[in-house]
Amino acid sequence: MTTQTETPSSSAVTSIEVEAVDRALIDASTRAPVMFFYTTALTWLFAATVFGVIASLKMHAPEFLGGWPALTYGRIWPAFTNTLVYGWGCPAAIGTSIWLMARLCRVALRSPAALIIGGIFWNIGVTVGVISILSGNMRPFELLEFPRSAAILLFIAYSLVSVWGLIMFNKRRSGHIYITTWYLLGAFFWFPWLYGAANVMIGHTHGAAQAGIAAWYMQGLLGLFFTSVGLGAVYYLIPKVLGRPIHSYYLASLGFWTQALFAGWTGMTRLTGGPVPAWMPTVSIAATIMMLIPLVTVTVNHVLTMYGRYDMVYYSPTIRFTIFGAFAWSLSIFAAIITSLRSVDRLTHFTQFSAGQFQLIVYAFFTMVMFGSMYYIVPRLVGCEWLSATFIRVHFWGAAYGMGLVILMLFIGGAAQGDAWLDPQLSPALVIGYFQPYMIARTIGWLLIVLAHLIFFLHFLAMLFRLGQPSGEPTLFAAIEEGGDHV
Amino acid sequence: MKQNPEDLRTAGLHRGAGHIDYRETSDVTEVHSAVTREKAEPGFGSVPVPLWLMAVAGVAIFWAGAYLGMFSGGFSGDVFNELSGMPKTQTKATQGGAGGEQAKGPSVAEEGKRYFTQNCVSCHQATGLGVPGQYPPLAKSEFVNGGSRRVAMILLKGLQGPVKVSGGQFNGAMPAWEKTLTDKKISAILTYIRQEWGNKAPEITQDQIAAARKEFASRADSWTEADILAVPADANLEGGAPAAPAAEKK
Amino acid sequence: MKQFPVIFGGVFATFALSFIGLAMVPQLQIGNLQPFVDEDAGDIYPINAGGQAAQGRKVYIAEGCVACHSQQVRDEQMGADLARGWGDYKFPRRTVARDYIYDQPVLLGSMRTGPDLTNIGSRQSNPMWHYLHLYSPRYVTPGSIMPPFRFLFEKRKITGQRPDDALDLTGVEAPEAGYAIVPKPEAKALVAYLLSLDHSHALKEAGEAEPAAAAQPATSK
Repeated sequence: MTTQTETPSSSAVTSIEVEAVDRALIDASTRAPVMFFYTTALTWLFAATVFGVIASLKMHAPEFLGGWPALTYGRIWPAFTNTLVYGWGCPAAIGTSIWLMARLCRVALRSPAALIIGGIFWNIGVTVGVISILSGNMRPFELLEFPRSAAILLFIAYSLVSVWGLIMFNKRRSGHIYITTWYLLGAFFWFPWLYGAANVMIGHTHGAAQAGIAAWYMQGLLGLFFTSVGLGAVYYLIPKVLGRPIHSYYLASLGFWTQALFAGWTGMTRLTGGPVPAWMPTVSIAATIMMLIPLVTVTVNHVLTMYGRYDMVYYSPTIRFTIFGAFAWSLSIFAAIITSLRSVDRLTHFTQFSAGQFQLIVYAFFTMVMFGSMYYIVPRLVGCEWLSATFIRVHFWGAAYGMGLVILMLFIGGAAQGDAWLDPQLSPALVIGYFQPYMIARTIGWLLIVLAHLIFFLHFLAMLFRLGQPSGEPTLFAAIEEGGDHV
Repeated sequence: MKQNPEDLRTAGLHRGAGHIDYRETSDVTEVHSAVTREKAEPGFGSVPVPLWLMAVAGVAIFWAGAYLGMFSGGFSGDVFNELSGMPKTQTKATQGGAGGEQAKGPSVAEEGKRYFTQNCVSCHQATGLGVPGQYPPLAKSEFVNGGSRRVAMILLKGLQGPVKVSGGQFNGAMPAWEKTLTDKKISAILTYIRQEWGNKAPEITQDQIAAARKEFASRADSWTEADILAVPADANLEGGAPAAPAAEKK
Repeated sequence: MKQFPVIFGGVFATFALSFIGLAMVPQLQIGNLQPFVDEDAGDIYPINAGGQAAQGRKVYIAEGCVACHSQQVRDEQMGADLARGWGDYKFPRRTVARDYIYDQPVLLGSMRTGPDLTNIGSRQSNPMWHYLHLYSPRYVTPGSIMPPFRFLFEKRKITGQRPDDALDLTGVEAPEAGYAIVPKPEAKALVAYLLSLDHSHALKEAGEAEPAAAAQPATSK
């Protein structure tokens, strides 16, 4: 141990100071696993970005890299979605969950080793899975492409994290259970069940029922796992940075339970018009309509919590990213309700519109919230502040405009594509002509995202090696007049 | 790391940064200013759920319930079309899309384009230019633009072996369509291809095809190029009135 | 502490409901369908395709064809599938669960960057077209954005007679004189699989299918 500096002011310790040091100790205890998950997640995010650019290019330049079997569109697209979801999304979610869980339960993490072992297993699993996809060893179900060997590794890894989460919850020192904890408990519990059940059942079923299981899994992953972690983080970060309580306990509670009840039922909208009995998509469409309730409650709760303090997006990077993500979530549920209806589905089904909805949830909502929480959490773990507000600004605008452009082009292009398919006179090659211009614009959006991710990745590396600002002031976009205690 | 968190807490407070150890020497509150400047942990307000939100929930429940009732197909495993549980009139109205168009009466060429898209486009392409070496072009083809007899023979019975069209050699097998397409469809397709892509040959009627079907009924195999070339290039099918504008109103 | 059972129980129960409703019940309902059998006519549908077609199925999965091609036909109120002839011209109809009972894994797909392939084997039955299209999609279909699968073919020096399965390429795509482009076994299997994709058989749960082929010659004669 180093020299011990006696604190002369120890006699005048206030309860706020006690709490602060308490928090500092808890934060410090989570440093190793959280930074491990974040670092690997960002590395995979970079890989996903490269895959995304290649896949986007191939939609209008099909001969580009055409001689490489591993880079065929049919392989690069699942490689992109899987690295985005399992390489970046889940580890980022786990990292944020660990930190939030430890903080909300007010328990220091005793043995980070189990979590780091889980993280190592997870990353080996993702590596095996992505290499398998690129070499053609994959299963033909969206987000279940990883072969069994990789799936088992992911399952073991997440189970370790889940068990840790429950132990943590059991030892908690805080009295009331905050809404974020509900969402995190749900996520810890739902993911292993979803992933385990889907993988086992896919292996033992055949025919149309198998497609039903894949659809149930895909929507469950987005609507229960990613939404839970994302909304959990939003529910923590907004009131925390603002220093005011969540608008209403009852709204939060209603939003959580309706989400839990209905989101799992929405999957069969992916099979509307397909070879499954009519009641399956009908039930899912009805459940999607019921998602109106969590959509309105959660949105109203966030809007009213922020009420009068929207100027914070000018100062706080965390708030800017988080609010962007929260509104993207509302938009994604709204789009899901509209497109689930059969009269709209006949236009948007089987088109790039559905790819746009996927990226709206996984990127515009979840990824942006994760960026926001990283801007909040990382300084507390490494003990220095983000290097440059300009870097953060470039990151935000690159990611927001880039993904905004990508999603907008996928929506418009998807609608044009669907409209062209509805006209039986147009041959498939002509249909392509109707949406290809939008695909070129999408590639431009991806280039902005590359820039944003490159900046953020370097910025994060600087923080990892403690090259950030040592000052006690947070890195904000602009100085706050009333005093600088927000990040 | 075995210490009681309670001990750690007081230790951190009273003995400085020793146990937190971010930067080895500094004081915890200084190093970890991010934590000390934080606002309190978030809590809940207790505003009740507003009445209008109850109304939104009610609308959602009613809407979803009605949807479920209308399109559930009785939760049967055999019902795949969500409209099959609906009253008959409604089903008819929705299916009327195709029927309604027919009532308006699309021209023969429009109908022909539809059947062409369904059956011919994959080889001869929407442009009518075919595929080099495989499928001959229809645009400007001497077979399509000549008399009606040759082209009808090919469509009914198919064509095997190499064939020379517009100066190019082709070797894709043309299937016989008499078993899969009706007289009406064949005549519509022929009329369409004879008047599209700059082709300007007279239309072919349903009766002409019916007659041709009878005439060639005994022929089992597809034609070869020699069979077709044996027929004069300007020979027409019987029964039709070539270039008769009156037939258009049929 | 008393909140814990409520949260945990609720989280468990809500999820279990959707698991039972959307994963288990359909499995019971359509998981064990039997093929349609008409013993008098010796008519069995569908048939479990084996051999080269089954090998080609694996190539179809490995190349990720499912990322752009669906294998499901919708009813006419849900789009133009039937008007496009994807429901096959012999028995124009949507697809139903029974069409897929031998599919493991099932390849429904969720994207139509290219056309539906449910009945591609009956719609386009010429193997050479498929070879040319796989080798160079834009040679056959200008404007297509399908990736070229040239790595499923090889260039071979012609010794003696030209191979039967050599691709009939002309123009810029043609190999230099004395060489021929021939499909590798993977390409042959893939084309065998594509040709096996033919669901032209009536099924009563798919709605009233009008067998266009059978009815027509009778009325016209």
